[in-house]
Amino acid sequence: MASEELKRRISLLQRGDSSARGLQAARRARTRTSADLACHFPEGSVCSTGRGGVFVCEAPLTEIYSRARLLRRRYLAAFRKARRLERREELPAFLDPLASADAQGTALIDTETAGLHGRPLFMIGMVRYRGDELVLTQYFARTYAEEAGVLERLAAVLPEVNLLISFNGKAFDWPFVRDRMVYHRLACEPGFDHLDLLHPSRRRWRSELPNCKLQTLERYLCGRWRSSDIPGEEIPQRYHDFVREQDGRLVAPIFHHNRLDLITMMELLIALLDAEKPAGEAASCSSTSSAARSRPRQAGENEGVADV
Amino acid sequence: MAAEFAKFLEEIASAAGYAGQIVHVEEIPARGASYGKLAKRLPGPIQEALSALDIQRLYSHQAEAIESIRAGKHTAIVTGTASGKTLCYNLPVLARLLAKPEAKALYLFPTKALAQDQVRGLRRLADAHPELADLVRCGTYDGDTPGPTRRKLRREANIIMSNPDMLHQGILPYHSRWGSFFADLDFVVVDEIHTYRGIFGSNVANVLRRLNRICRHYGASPTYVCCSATIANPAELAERLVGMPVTLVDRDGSPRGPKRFVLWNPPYIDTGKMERRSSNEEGHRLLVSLLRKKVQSIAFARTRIVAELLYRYTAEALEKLKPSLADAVRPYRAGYLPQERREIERQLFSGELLGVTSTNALELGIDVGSLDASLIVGYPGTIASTWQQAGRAGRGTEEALVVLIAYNDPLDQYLVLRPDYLFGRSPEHAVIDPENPYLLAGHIRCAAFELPLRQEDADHFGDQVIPILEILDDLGQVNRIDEAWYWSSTDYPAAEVALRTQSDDTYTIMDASDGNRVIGMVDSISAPETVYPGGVYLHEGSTHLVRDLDLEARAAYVERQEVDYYTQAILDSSIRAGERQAEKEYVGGRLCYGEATVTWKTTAFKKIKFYTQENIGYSRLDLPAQNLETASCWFAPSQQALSLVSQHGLKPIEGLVGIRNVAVNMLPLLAMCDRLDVGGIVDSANFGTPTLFLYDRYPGGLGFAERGYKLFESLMQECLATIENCPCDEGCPSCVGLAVTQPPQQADPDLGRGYPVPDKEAALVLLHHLLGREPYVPRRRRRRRRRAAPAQPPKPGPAGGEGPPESVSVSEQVARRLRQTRRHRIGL
Repeated sequence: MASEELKRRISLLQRGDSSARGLQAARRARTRTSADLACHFPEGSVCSTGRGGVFVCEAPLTEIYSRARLLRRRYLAAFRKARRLERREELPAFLDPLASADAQGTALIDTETAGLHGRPLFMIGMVRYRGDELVLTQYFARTYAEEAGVLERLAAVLPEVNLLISFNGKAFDWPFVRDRMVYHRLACEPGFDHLDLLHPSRRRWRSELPNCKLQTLERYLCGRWRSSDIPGEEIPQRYHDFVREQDGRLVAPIFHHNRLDLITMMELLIALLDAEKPAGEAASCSSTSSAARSRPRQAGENEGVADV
Repeated sequence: MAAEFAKFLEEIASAAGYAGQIVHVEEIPARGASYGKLAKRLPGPIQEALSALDIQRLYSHQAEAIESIRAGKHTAIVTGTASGKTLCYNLPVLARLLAKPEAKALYLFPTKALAQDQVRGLRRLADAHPELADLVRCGTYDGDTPGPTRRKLRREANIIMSNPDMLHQGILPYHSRWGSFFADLDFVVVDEIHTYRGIFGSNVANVLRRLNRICRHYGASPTYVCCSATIANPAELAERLVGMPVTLVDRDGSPRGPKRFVLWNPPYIDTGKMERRSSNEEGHRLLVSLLRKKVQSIAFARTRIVAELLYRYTAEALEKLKPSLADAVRPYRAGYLPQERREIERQLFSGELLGVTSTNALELGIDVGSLDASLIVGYPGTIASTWQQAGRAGRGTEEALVVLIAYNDPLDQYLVLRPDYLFGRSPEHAVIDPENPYLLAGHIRCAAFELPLRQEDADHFGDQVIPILEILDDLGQVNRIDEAWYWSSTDYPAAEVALRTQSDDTYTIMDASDGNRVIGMVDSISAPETVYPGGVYLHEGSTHLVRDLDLEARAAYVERQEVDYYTQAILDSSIRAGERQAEKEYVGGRLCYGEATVTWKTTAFKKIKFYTQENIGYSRLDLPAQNLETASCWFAPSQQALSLVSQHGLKPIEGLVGIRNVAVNMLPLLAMCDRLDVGGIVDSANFGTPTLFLYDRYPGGLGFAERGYKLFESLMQECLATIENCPCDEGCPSCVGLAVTQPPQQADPDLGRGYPVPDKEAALVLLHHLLGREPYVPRRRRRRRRRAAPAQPPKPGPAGGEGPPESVSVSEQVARRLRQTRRHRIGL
């Protein structure tokens, strides 16, 4: 039995006490429907899918990140470098998926869920190339009922993707997404390569860093320090509260957290390629050449990532 | 050995020293096989596999079951032990796999051991034909399955063998990992459904409703196949469990050899005819005689310690009489390591073992082959269990022997002296109540976690679903969005629902003299009465002294040491009334409902010498008490009521004990639970006056005592009707229980606590007063029991619509429930 209160209420119900049900009437009157949800979100729009509505928040990276231009250059350079290394057969095996990839067909992905396996997924953040712009898109379920729509959007995008980049996505995000697609009986046939940055990062930095969590890597490699970011373990409860209250302030930090994770993943990819120093070639970008030497600097917490 | 049991019994009866132990021999005639034909033949590979296993024809019940399952009907199969029940479901499952290779089946067994046994059985069948061998990918998926194997099974297996607990906590909450399995699930086999009674059964029924919901979600509607040992209402139980109508197959077509069922009463050993020879001694002697004749036999003991004693005595006797056989017998019980148990099962099956002494652990359908003789040392408590244990004897058409050896306790004595009672009664009913709101609420939470709930789920879970969901919504655990309720909490609800009343917490028993090697296990409830410091722990008949019981580490440290005694724990139990939630005044007393704490502890132990049973020592123990915090209703008769009984020279407490003994059998009918889900205690310590407590044997309570409070008057009316309609003179197992005319076999005089004797007349005086009937005038005590024409008890007055409408059907059930016998013991 979950709680004393539940037991007490059932007991009242058994004795035909109307007060056990009385509270329900009021609640029923203010039952929400997904149609009339209030939105206090970052700019975005409700998009309808074959599986119901879903909230989509989309912006070019340049609009939400002050250093987006530099990041884009280095990101593209990383792909070029990977191809160069591949031609010389110097690309390490764990970066293989990059050999044949180009930035156009690549998507970075990060999901937010209401807990571990068996729980709902409520946000998928992606960075993809569109035209010559990097665009960050977040699909968000404003209620549990919209999860199917979020996944449907992803399923619609995936055929255009030939490389998926994630952090710990092989063990977590992708199996999670796949299971939730099964749950919602959505078809999903992966036709893409998957590069999980966790494993190459471990190989590269395990001996130099205290651990290889995304935020540790971020601190040492990008020199970014999140001081008021929402801790990952608080996210599930925060989301449940949001579904109940529909107050956008509750989830705004999760949107932000998701964006930071995606940007860090891009920087991580760049750092991994930088760390490959083939003979006779200088690093294409220099700022994060060695993790051990770069100390975390106490940067402005958001470091130019526009608040949402 | 065929046809030699008559001679065997004759030899016994004519041997010197025979003292008339054989008090009755029931001859159960042989039955010829009846075969059946299938309308459509089984696929070739299956027929060839059957031929390879020397199965040429199907029994009629197998054919009937296969036809029914093929037709997609949910089917319940109830036939005897070793009648080939597993083929009834394995064949249609294999046939489906041949026709539709992506089909899946889920088999559920109440224990992990049974699931493993069934994997072996299915493999034997499938391996008999190469095509089947390739096709069948099966394995056990339970708490013991390592992670990588789990992943492999989820991906590849087409037949999963599991248990309800695993389905509840390890499969359904993660159903999306199993997506393709559920989408193609064509069969669900639920074996040994007679074990799913009471609270456990009600929980399993809800787990199956959750399973059905998941199947519907993935577009599957599997056919259920339920198998049961003989109980009174198998079809009803199966329907309640799976929540859908089932077709019953119960005409057993397997042949059966003649069976001799002997009732055996140990002889008196004193001239005063008070004490009988030890039943354990009678049991092991009989077992030794059978084994010396090379009769493969099993001896069933009521408790683990007796299984050990029987083994030890038997092995020692064989050592002297026929040393070559001493290794051909082993004990078997819960608490042995799994590999030890598997080995014994295998040895029994292969015939390496000639004899086994066992608790009811071998009562369930583990396939150990059939034996020739079954000795039941002490009535196992129910008619159904008795027949299950008897069913272990009987190899095809050969003759079999069953001997029920009575203990010198009132219930056993009653049964062996009245063969009609045992052989004339149908087995017990199995009752479940999936809609018990307290249990249901837990499963509704689990179901919401698995998939959002909708209005139409009330069709399967019952009308209470919506009110419960509304309460959960209020408590923030579910959230209604549009027309569905979604789980909206970070809790993991399946972890908060245990299907069984027994905890699965175990203590390990380690041999400190052998580098702390783990030699056995014991459940946490039994640990303080099994492995207390200074006690003797018997394992495979060997004595181990218990050095330490570490309650925190959940470990007992023992040391192998040969001693010539064993020990017996002395338990003390009590009940303490807590906060009252409701009370009512009756003519005859005051009725309350509220919290109560039932406490029991091992307070001391006795050292008892092997064989002679001499008491050679006594030690006090200081072990912490175990508590059950639960709900109870209690009734304290008024002073007026008590003195009314005293006026007749009767003892009120003895009347109350009699009412308790009936009430613990009647309350389950009103509360829709199993007999073992409620307890009753008569106690004077709480209020200084004898008080009858009825409580839920489940932490926190499940509404049984609550119902007893609400329907107290009907409960008492049922008790009165039962006692009045019982033709016995002084009480019997069907009503108030038996008057104990001698102290229980191993009661300890040191305890100085007398056992109140149930008194039928005193109970009637109290009940008449309580229900506002005309005062009852007790009959004078008869000196002797009269066998024929018992005095007609007074007819119960017409109740005139006093009871609630359900009391009518309850009365009918009461008549059936009378078959439920009960232990006569305080605190049961």
